[in-house]
Amino acid sequence: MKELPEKLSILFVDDEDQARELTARMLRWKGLVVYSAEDGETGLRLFKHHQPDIVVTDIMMPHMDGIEMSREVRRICSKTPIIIASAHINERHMVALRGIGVSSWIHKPIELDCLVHEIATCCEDAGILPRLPVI
Amino acid sequence: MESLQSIENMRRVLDWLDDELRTRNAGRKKETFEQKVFELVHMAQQLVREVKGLPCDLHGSEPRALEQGRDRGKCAAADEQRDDEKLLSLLESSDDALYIRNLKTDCYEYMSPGIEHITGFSAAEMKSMKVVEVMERVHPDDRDIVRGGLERVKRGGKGVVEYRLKGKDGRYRMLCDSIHTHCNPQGEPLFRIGIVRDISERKQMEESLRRSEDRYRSLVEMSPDALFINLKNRVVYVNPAALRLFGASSSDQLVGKTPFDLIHPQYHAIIRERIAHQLAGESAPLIEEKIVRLDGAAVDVEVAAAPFMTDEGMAIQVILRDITERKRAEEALLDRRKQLEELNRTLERRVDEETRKNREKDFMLIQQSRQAEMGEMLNIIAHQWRQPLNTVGLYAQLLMESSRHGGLDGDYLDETVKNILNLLKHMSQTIDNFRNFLRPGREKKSFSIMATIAGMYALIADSFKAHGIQVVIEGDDQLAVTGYPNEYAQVVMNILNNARDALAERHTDEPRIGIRVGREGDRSVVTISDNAGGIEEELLDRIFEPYFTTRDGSSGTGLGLYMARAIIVKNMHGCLSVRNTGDGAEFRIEV
Repeated sequence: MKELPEKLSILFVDDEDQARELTARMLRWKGLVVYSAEDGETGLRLFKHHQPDIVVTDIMMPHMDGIEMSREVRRICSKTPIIIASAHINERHMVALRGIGVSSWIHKPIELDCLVHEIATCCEDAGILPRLPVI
Repeated sequence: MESLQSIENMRRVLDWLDDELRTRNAGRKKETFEQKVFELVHMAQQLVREVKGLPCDLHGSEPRALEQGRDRGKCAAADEQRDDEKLLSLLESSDDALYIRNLKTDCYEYMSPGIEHITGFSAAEMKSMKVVEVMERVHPDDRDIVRGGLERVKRGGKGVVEYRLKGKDGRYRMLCDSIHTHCNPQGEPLFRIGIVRDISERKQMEESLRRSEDRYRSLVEMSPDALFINLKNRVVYVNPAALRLFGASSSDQLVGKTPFDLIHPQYHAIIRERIAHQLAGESAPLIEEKIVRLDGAAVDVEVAAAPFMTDEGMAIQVILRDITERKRAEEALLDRRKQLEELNRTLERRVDEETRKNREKDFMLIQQSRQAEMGEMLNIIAHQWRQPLNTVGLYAQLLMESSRHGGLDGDYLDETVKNILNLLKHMSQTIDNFRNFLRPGREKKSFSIMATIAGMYALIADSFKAHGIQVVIEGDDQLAVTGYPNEYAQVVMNILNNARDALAERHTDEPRIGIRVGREGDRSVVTISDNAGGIEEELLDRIFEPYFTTRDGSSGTGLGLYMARAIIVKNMHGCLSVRNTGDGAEFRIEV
């Protein structure tokens, strides 16, 4: 189990209320600072405002979808890891996401441990230092 | 009284005869002369009798009559006079004419009134004619016959001449002139007695009979059918066709044979029976037989026979027609029919086989179609379930995490479980909705088109959302039709799914589907249009055909639109059509 960097801030975007709240709650329990948003537009606003370390987003969402938002995020910051969490990822999505430079993706239903592992991996890859293991 | 006049004439003739003979035969006995006259009178009687066909009673009455006639004034026995009158009345009333010609003077001594009936000239007129004049009235072609006839009887004896004589009206009549020249013992012709009869009618009848016979003969001779006549069990006549049929070069080869020589032994019993029937005057029906040619070959013939009476007894006319060709054709036909029957039998088997194969294929395709529909349903359900499943999963993990962090109390647990159950209920509801939707309607009912489409769309909306497709449903939400709502919804869903697939496949920007519900006259019209670019023009006509699909592999069965049209046309008596709008396809459902 990889350790997460301390005080890691994350933007979590999902239009499904219960799922978003539950995920956010559990990520907070893991020690993350979580900014949650219900669509791409809100997500982008929060990103600009809080400059989170990492972004996790769904794809299909009203107003601005995950792909569009990722494109905007990448425009603002080229290094921030972006993880896609979606039930429907098709070829077309993948092609678009690769073009944008999305770091990784996980399938719904979300397994919290998987999500945490992906976040940790992406942080490593991005050079965000992990918290030292507690001895 | 003309008859008396005629009698007088007759008397004068006889007187003249008397005188003449007396002078010439001065040395002879009176008896000889009387005998001669008697013969003459008797002969006249005979002629008259022949002419009239009546019995004459003058027989045996005598030379005396003449004697008495001569001495008429002195004694006149009533009976004798009656006999004379009888003779005269016969002569006078006859349609035939009698004349007596004096060969010395070449004048008519007597001409009976019957001549007027024949020639139109009165007896007096005729009598006054000279021989040359009469000869001029004879038909030029017949003059030699007359001259010849007269020549033959010049020195006595009897003869008959037939010739045409021009009557007073200028028309020719055919006459039969029985002439008798009388000579004196020295052989010198004295007079000629003639009895003339008009035989024009008889001649005409003979002529027409002859012509009819000729016609019949030529018919028989020319007949393409063979004919022979069986008289007393012998062949007495064969026509040329019969010669050909039997392979004979002359009729001698056949005439004289029995019919049994000509017919195949196999048919002898039948023939014997038929001949017996025909000789009894019955007709024999048309039958098929075999004849035997002179060279021994058997030939199939069709035989008709009919009895007819001849002078020599009952004869049978037998007509035979060569039916070898017909038989051959019949046999060929029979063969063909057998072949056809055989072909039909195998064809039936082949058709059955093909039908069975097709049925199997249909069955497989329908199965595939069902499976595809089920796959589609699963896909839709998966879309519907992904979010709640995700949430349920998160709740489960939340319970675990809560327990780890020591925050799991009773209320929190209750709350979480309640949320999970709600989600599960929602998921279960989804399945029920699909089941209801898939259950075919048993009875027609009135339903709102808008509500039906909206209800159906709610079930599948997620898969459209997943593709980012904007679906707009608008129009008359009061419009209702009668039919099967689930089937109707299935049709709309099929079209929507096709549109969704086309939009996804072609990566259309701002994919959009518009559903418009409206009314045109007394029909409801629903149009479903997309902006996926439309359908290739040459495929427009074919997309409703069964097994037509543009998708390869397992994704399409090609039955969706075929079934959609069947539902709308057959089940709801409406129509389903498609056209290209410019940026996409537009389906139109009229019910």
